[in-house]
Amino acid sequence: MNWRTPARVVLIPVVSILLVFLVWDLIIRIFNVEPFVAPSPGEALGALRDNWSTLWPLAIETIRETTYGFVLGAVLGFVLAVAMAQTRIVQGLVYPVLISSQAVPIIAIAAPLVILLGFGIWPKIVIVAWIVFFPVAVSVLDGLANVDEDLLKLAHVMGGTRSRVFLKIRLPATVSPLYSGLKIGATYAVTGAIIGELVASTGDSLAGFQRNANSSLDTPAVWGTTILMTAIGIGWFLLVMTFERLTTPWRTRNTVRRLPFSRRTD
Amino acid sequence: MTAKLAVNECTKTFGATVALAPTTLAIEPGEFVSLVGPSGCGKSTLFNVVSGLLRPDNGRVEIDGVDVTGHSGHVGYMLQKDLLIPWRSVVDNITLGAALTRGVTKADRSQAVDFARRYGLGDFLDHYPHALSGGMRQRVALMRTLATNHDLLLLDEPFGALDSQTRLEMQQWLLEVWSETQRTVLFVTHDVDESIFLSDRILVMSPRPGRIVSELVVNLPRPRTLQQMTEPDFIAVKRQILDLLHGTVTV
Amino acid sequence: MKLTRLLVLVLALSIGVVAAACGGSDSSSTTAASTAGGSTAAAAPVDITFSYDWPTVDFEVIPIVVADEKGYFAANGVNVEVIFPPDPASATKILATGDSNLGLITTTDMAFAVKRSLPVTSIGDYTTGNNWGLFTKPGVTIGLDTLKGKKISTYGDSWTNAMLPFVLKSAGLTDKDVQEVTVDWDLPLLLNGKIDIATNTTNFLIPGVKDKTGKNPEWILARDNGAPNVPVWVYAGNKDWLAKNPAAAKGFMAAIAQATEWAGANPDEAAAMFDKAYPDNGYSHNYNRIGWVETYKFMKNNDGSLLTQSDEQWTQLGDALKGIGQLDTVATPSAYYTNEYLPTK
Repeated sequence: MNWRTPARVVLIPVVSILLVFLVWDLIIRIFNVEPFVAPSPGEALGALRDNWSTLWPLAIETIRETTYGFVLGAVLGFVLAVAMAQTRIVQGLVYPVLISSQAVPIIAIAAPLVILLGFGIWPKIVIVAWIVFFPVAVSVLDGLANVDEDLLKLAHVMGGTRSRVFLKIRLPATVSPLYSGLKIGATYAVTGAIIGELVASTGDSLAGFQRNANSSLDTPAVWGTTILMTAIGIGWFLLVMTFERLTTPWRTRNTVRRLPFSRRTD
Repeated sequence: MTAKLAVNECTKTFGATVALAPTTLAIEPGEFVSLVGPSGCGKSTLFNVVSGLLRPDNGRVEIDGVDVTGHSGHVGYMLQKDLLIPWRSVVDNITLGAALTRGVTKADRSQAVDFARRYGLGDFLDHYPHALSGGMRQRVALMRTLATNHDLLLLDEPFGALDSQTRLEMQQWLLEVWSETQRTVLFVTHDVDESIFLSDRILVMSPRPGRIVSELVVNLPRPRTLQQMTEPDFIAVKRQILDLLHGTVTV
Repeated sequence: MKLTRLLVLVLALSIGVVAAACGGSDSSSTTAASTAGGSTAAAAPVDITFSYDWPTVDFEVIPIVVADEKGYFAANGVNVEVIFPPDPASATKILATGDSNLGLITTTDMAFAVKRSLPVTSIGDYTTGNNWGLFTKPGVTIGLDTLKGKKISTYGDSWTNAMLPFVLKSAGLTDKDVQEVTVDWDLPLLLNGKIDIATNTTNFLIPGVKDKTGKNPEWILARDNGAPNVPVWVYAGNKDWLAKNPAAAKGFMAAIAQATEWAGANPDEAAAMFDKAYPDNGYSHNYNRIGWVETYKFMKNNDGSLLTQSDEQWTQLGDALKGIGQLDTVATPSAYYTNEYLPTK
């Protein structure tokens, strides 16, 4: 692999984020922004550091909520897409419901969810799943619909059985679209968890911490928490991207990655 | 000797169009036969009927004397698109036929490796299709077709998407493979030179309705060489075909 | 082609709807009547932007509504517009940035404002005592011994965050011994059992439960259980604006004093004025009237005066907050308040 590429891939985003911080700092200085309106990046990061022992377990909880919800949403979306791809009828019935589900504002469903599911982790999981399942369902359905017709004809001529054609051709064709859907979902998943925390929480949560900091006018802590939430969101996205690279080697490699004792039979 | 392929009075109509008028042909084992003709002449329809993708309105298709009308899985089949599966390696693509039917065995894999090594892709066994050139990909596609172990191969303009240089190389390579494996080939092409270079017989087809209008035997000695392409015998056949295609001579 | 035309039509309609929505008047604020014809001060009335303490309007805004309707504002040379913060904590910030000139905030907000050196000061008590407590639905007993393990709602605001620890401490508990649940609105959750205990003030929770069930809730008051008996809400102002507009500030408070007295004597009409000024307030007239009556009960000092603040209330609050670790130092009382804008009797 070109030695320059990994460095460039990592370095450029880091530099751009540092630039954002720099501009932020300059704006605060130039416009003499009051500390209770907006803190400088240094103050925000300082508050993050000062409160780290409290924040870290809360962040873990938010990550847990996001993970469970994400997996649930991905599985749901995938299953729905496969179901819809089977018959026109199912697609015609399910698709409009799918679209309507996304038209409902998340905030609006959060409160009823609390009535139904209580104040624990479940409303957050449902909200994250709600956000994730739609892009996954749409992308996977697209992938299934766009399998090369000629390839399917070839498979037919070769005498391919229906189940094998599904397993070896149709299903693997969904992997790339699946990741497209997952990446879209990933960017919003953490937001969903935060919304869930805002509406329904026993004890402390990241969103709750931020709300309390806001109530006591601790602006650096408020912004610091925002930075933390953003970092979690970015981390999540990177995680999905890494998974994608690992599980779709043909998009980035020339040859199959050979494990020491791999023995593949179809 | 039973014909390898016998097509008996097959017709196919789509709506108002007669895509294939009653057509009969026979191909002997080991023959290399080309179908040549303009678009709409019915060669693709005939192909789809023989491969079992289409059920003809009338008539029968027999392979080795067995009626296979409308049934697929009896021929090797190859298109202009290589249709290689992007997430499978070269070897895994060659074994696709087995993967989709009964499962890939060790024997299948070693046969695939064999093919690849023999035909110049020994260094690319584990490569993904996107890392190969167009010509190499079509070679893999042909090996996939061979690996299905059918005697009869249907090749539908397999080199149509390649540049002329690569195409010449592929034609020579195909002849090599064909003579080594002794399969029977039915080949569709637009390219008159290609049909003459490759075939024992050429069936010229014509549209409205789609039908075979003429059959020409190519008497050039084998193995075929590029040199032959500029010799009088070659040119003579070519003139005949061109006249048939562009309507100045009737047979 | 037909589909394209249909889509274009839908697009045009959508743009129309969006344009209409954006062009419509801002419903989150009301403008007090402007001064036409009254025998007011010779100068034009001063515009005052008043920020409320809660994102949604409720009957505590009645003194302002009455002052506007009865012309007290106009007579005192001011013209008041009420704005609502996006969340409870922003009320103080809006004052601090000068986006509003005067506002209603809690005394704990005020204490933290001083802690963060915000240019805000308290100019008058709204109510005079601590009527905040813990409530259960009708028929369910509550006491310090019943709190452990319960689901207790909070709004996540500075007042609740300050007061709840006092009560828990009195019960020998910490926040680990209860399940604190942050909510937007506690009443429905309390009534259908999703939470065991709601934290709120008596003037809100009691009318709410009475209005919905016809019965009173059970409750314990924080001031009986370790919390300081200090006012919950105060009128506050942006220091820079106050320095530049002392007359207007005084005019405002004078009008408020008048309006509060009148509304206290005429709760029915006052509630009706509120309903008229905020027809979409979402509460029943009955609730608004009872709520106002309950609020007015807490508005007079022992000597019968309205609005007047004391050094003690601020030191008491500061010491209490310091005691539970929410403040590091207690500033001198004058850092928190001034009575200079109150009408002299």
